Amino acid sequence: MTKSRWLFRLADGILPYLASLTYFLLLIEAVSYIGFLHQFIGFNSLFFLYSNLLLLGFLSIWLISHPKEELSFYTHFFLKLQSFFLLPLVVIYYIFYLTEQANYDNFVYTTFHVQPQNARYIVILAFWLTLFYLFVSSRRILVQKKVFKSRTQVFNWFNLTIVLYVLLMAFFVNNSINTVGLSIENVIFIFRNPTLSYDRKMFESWKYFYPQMQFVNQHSPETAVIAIPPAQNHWLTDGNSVVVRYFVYPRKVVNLIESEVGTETLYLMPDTSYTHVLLTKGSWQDPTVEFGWPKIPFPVSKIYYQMPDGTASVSAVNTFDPSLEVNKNSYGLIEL
Amino acid sequence: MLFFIDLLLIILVALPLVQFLAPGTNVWEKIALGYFVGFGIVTYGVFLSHIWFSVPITFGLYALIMAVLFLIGIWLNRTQLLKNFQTFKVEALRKKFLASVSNVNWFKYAVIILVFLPPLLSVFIDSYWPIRDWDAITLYDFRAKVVYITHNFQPLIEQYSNYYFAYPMFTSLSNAYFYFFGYANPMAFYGANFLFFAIIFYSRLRSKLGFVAAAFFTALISYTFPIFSHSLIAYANLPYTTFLVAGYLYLFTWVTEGKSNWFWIGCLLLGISIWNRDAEPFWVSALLLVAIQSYRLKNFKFIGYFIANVVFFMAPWAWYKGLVVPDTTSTHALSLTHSILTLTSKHLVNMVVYLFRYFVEPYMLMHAIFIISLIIFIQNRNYKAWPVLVVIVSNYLIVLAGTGYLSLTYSKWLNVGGSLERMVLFFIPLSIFFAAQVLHTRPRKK
Repeated sequence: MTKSRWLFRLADGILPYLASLTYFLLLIEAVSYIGFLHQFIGFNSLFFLYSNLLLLGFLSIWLISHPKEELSFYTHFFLKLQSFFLLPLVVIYYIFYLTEQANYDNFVYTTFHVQPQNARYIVILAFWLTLFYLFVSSRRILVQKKVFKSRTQVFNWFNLTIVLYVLLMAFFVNNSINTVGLSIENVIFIFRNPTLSYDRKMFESWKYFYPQMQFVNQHSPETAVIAIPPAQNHWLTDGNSVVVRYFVYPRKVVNLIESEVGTETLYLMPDTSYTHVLLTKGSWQDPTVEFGWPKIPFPVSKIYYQMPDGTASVSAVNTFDPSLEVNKNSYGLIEL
Repeated sequence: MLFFIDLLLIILVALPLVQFLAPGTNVWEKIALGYFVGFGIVTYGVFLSHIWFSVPITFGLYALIMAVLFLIGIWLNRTQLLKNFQTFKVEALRKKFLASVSNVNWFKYAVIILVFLPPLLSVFIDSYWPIRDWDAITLYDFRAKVVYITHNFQPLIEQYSNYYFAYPMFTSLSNAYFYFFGYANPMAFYGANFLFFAIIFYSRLRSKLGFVAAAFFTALISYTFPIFSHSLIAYANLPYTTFLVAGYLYLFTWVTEGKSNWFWIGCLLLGISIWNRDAEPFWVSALLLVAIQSYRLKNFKFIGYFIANVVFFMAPWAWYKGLVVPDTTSTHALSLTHSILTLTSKHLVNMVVYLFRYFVEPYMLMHAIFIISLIIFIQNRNYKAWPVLVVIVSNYLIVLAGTGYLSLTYSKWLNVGGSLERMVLFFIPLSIFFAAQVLHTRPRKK
């Protein structure tokens, strides 16, 4: 027996045991976490998964280049047996995945003590083992049914065609999981909230920012020119002039170009004329600067503070004082 | 509901022209083409009327352009329509309808519904949500709302014009169409774009393959996550992808079948893709294909027609943009000459990493599918799928060259990887189409 044939026989003999062990270890880490086994054996289950895939790769290449070789009866039997579990495993995984999408992250782990993102590796192993089985058994069937005269002819014809179909199926499975998941997530939301208003839908996407902009519209005329902060630090959204403009149009928006270093632009006001100033605490996290804009005092006629329920608390002061806590932590509109 | 009425209206006005350009297609493909051709021609007609004749963009202008499109289509089809009118019999139509209903193949219908389920769901989901994504509201839909309120582009010119005129107005004027025609929510336009593209893809495959094969490969497109997720946002990337690939598909049909009507419709769709996003140069690969086919046919007028088509869709926008945007030079622009002269090995490594991260890695399986298909294509020695291969390979080269050019002329190029990832979405349907053709081509006997 040549050295390479000896290797083939060894790989053929190992495959059922390695695959069985891998299934077991993947199951352990599906109910715990990836890396759980590492503390005991120095490897996690993915190491065994990749070993299986490497072994399948070696066997595939050997069988392609030696069309008359066969796998042992025991390996053939094991592959056939495990192929019956592929469909149930896919169905179970899909149920877990969609259940998670329909509820919240970690719902499945909390309820069933199974991590869907780890359980998918069991499906991946079953998928590749089953495909390998189909690849091997197609030689026999096509020769038996006299579609091809010999196994050599099968391989000459089907080698890369099978690989291409495998890739196309993998492409489909990989994409359809995410597509179906996203569809279900959206459809469930729609059926739970069929009569949501436009304002509520925009709030779902823009959170606090949408009611903030609605507040500006309610307390300024359409001819207003509104000064907003530069788009930096806490004000990456509130200071983005094209975003703000969409929500407050036909009102105009003016601001300074943001500084890429330092915070000095936060202490300057736009040099073009404006009628109102956006009062905004800011929402992005940045430890280098305090919340609250504007940061300098200036004469005003009114300040509209946005209350949590969306109504306005009006303060008729003469000067805007940025040092006051209420001015640092509020949202609203300043009228000049 | 209003959205669907508006959608149907624009499809109907484009149908006569579609019938003239693509007479051999089935009714569903004609409807899909009606969507593509209708929105493309109407929005472009509105734009040209406004910039050349200063016509305010109103409901009346849209209605006028639609009427003109409809009448042109009727006039081009006048001979056939007259013949149909003269031979029309209600009884024959009734018998045809009853025959089609009684011969329903429920299995086929079930498969078709499954294949087109994601695009249908996309239309359903889009009908619920308003336009809400970042670039959609700051750029595309903002332009639409400005046009709807002011009937011109003036507010866009007055402030941040270099931002508002970064891309052509196709999606914005499409959104504005729905605003003018009853203030319908235009969001489902993007789901419809996905659906009608899937129909065209299926129809082009079905013209060469059996039902099961065409359904399988179309399902690969329908269930592709990047395409599906783009259909749920109102960006210009998906419309660009669909117009571009649909244009390619009809050019492939022109090459294999030889009838010039396929050339015209392929040209038109590719031109509208430029009207969608003019910066992307992927029409160049179509020009290469047209050049090769023209050489084979020894008829070079097609090259001239194609170039004229590109110029027609590109030049007016470029001219108008140059007029209204005072300075198109980016603050991050670099001198190409200087960049080439100071090129370092680190820059080349960055380019390779950039391409791997944003072009190779997100689409690993797709690249593998293309490579294996290419090997089978060469092994079979039956080169029927050569037009698709020419387009894909030249587009790979364009991506490579384009990335090199960008890295040498724009200092912030490393920050725009997401744009590259969205821009190359069209490689997915092209690779799948190539795989379909290769798998269903018999090897040449030795």
